[in-house]
Amino acid sequence: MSTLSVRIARIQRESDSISRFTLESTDGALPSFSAGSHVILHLPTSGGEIRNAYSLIGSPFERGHYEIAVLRNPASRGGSSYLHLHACEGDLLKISPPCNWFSIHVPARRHLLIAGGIGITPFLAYLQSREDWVRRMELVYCVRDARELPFAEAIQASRVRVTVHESQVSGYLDIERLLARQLLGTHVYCCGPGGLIDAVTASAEHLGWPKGTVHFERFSPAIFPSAQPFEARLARSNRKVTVPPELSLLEALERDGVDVPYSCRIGGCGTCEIAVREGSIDHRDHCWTDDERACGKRMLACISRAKNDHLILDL
Amino acid sequence: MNSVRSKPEYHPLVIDPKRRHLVIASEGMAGAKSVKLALGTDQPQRFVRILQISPLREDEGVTETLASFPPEWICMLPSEEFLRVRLRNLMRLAPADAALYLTGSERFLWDCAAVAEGSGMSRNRIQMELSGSAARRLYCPHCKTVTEGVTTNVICCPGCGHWLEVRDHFSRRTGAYAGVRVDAEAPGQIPKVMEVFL
Amino acid sequence: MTNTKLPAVEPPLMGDAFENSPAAIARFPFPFLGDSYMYSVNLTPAGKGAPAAYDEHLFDVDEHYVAEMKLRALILEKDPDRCIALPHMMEHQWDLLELIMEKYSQDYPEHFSLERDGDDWHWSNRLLDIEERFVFGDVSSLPCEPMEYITRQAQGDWILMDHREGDFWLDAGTLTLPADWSLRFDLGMSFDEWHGPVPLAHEAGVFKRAKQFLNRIRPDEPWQRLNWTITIGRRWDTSSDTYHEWGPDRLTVTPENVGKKAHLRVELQVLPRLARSNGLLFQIRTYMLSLEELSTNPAWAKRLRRVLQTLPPEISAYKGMTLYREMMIDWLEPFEDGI
Repeated sequence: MSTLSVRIARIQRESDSISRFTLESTDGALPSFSAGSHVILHLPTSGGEIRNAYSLIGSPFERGHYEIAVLRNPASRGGSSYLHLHACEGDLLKISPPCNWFSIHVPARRHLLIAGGIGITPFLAYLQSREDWVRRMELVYCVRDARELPFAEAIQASRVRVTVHESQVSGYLDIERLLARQLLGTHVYCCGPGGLIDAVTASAEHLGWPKGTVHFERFSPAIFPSAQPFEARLARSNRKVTVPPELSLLEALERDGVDVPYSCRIGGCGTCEIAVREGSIDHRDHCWTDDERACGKRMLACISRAKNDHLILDL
Repeated sequence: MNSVRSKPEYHPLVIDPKRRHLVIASEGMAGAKSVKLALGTDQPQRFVRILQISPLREDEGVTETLASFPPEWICMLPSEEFLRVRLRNLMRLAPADAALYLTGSERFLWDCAAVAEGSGMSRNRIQMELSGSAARRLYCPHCKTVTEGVTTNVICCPGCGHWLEVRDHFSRRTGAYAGVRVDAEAPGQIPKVMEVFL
Repeated sequence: MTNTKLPAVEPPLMGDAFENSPAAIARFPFPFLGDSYMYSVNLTPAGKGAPAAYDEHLFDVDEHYVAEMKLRALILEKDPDRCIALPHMMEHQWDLLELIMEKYSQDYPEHFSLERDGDDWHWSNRLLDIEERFVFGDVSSLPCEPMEYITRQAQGDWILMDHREGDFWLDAGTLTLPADWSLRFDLGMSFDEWHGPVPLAHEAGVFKRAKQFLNRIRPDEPWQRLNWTITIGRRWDTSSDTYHEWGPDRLTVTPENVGKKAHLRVELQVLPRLARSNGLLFQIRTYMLSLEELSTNPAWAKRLRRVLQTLPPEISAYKGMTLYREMMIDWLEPFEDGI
């Protein structure tokens, strides 16, 4: 898979826990991208290369640089810590070209954007897309404390209608009430903590919103019982790859030099599908249907694991 | 004729009693009957509108059925055009989870669907029951003429005068089937004209 | 660029005087990998061909460029609906203009150049003698909408698909050389709907797999595939809209003239992601060789004959070959060597 070479041109603190990184190309114009796209940063941490996806938060019309926002995450396996503690302006990085699994449903009458915390990031690009799309958007921005409102300036500049919901003052957002007053032809987009996404999708389902009108992007996979180690046996190349609990199957394969196509890296898009010859699969994705999982002969390498101690893969 | 994937399929209306906002548009009596079956008449939390074109044929207890509903549910419109205008107004104020149930001739179904989709309704929230004529709206790609009420397998296009085979390839956007010149490769050989879309 | 050497005298647009040079014949995208044919999702990475090959560049420009663009202009004058877009497709239109201008100026710098100063763009097309200064994103700064503007200067047909609900919608396009379909009628259809009339492929699951593949096409990785049919006469515009004009040509084929009249018509279908709309472009680049031209490569002639012999009758009928398939097989007989 192709990569782009970029330099960290600037690092700015947006808040106590969020920093904005400006990435400039080292070789010509950067590819144009659609709002909602992400890039994957290849991070040279001390524990080995970590690949993490970050939403592009800048204008889709800007070709000179990309911007991403990184949340300092105490539970990070090293990616965001590396960026917060070790990365410096001037550093060179490899990134994947932009790819989008969370794009705007163009003909919708209205777009309701519900952002929780760092989930605001893909919507920052939405707000800088075509003017006639932005005019139909409404943003509900959920934060814990409104005194710390990352990207407030950017949101104000877009002139989009925005409601800030402060959870430490008002408690949880009343999602059902918010959705119940939406008009026909509204599409809802949600990005943020898993709990917020689950609540929005459950509410939309309960109210009877049509299929295809609810869009979401997860930044981390759904909660699952903690991972167990297992062995991946590659039938065609006759190799064994050990998958420890802290690595996904995809990451373990990459460490051992086996390349599998990927995109979102958290089980949301289906790109990293591989064939399984034997073994019980522990499906942890959030994009396949039950039927697709039931056949038992395919899995998503970036997120799913083995139910028992090994899988035989058709690789 | 091969079964063409664009050709639409229709089913008897199954009104979902969990829907809190329903609009039913009907060319005949079938709409009201389906509502009675699914909902009964005593659901105060719900927004229901049954759009009908008057006058209705007196048959199968039509007056009785209509009288059993709350009066605000019934909208009698003097023509199909008025019905579509009322439909558009209802769609403009409808909530995101509104459902639309249509029953009537094929042409009626797709003309109403176009109004609803134009107002932002998702296609999967529109149910269609064919309870009227299956006569086809036909588009002639050679002269762009649209001919209504085609019931035969071939017709002479009133626009260009060519004989057209009436195909199954269907456009949901316009509610029309495609025709194509039937004798371009066999001049003068027009198949026997048969009434098939009734 | 050797493959864009244009003839000193412009060839006529259609008819027997319109020829392919030996270079054009040599680089023809012969579509058959085996001796029989069935619909499949035969996608390969786009724009990765050898130097001077038809797929060396993402969008191929060849010796017929000027003639094809003049023909497009004539067709659009008679029937403006051949270039049509639904109202929500403006971002896709600008994506297309940007992509074509970038690729043409990069890959054929002797013919096209693009200078950009922010949103002030300066485009030069030396083949059609066009100079244009405009503001990218501002429709009023162009003589017409972006898709129409650029496709009047870009070889091939162009379909812009909106990607939503996991499906692809034929929501805009310029279609002046299609193989028997009508953009005006199909406008707004979903992927399965506009492929509705294609026989056998649905049952074989071809379109379901195709859509899964298309869903995952990344912006940095365009894909391509080949499609084919037979056209009688060197006629580019074989749309359903004009079928009444070209359909009767099929009756004029005889064993004596089939070598000149019957053309293997190949569509190179190129599928790049559109950058800012996240839609998918479906370019249909059409190439035609008569049987006579094709048979200058005996291996091609032999393979084509075997494909025609084994073609399922539904596909043969759908491609309109019923009247002259046997004549073609007979004409190609000398190339069958039994191996």
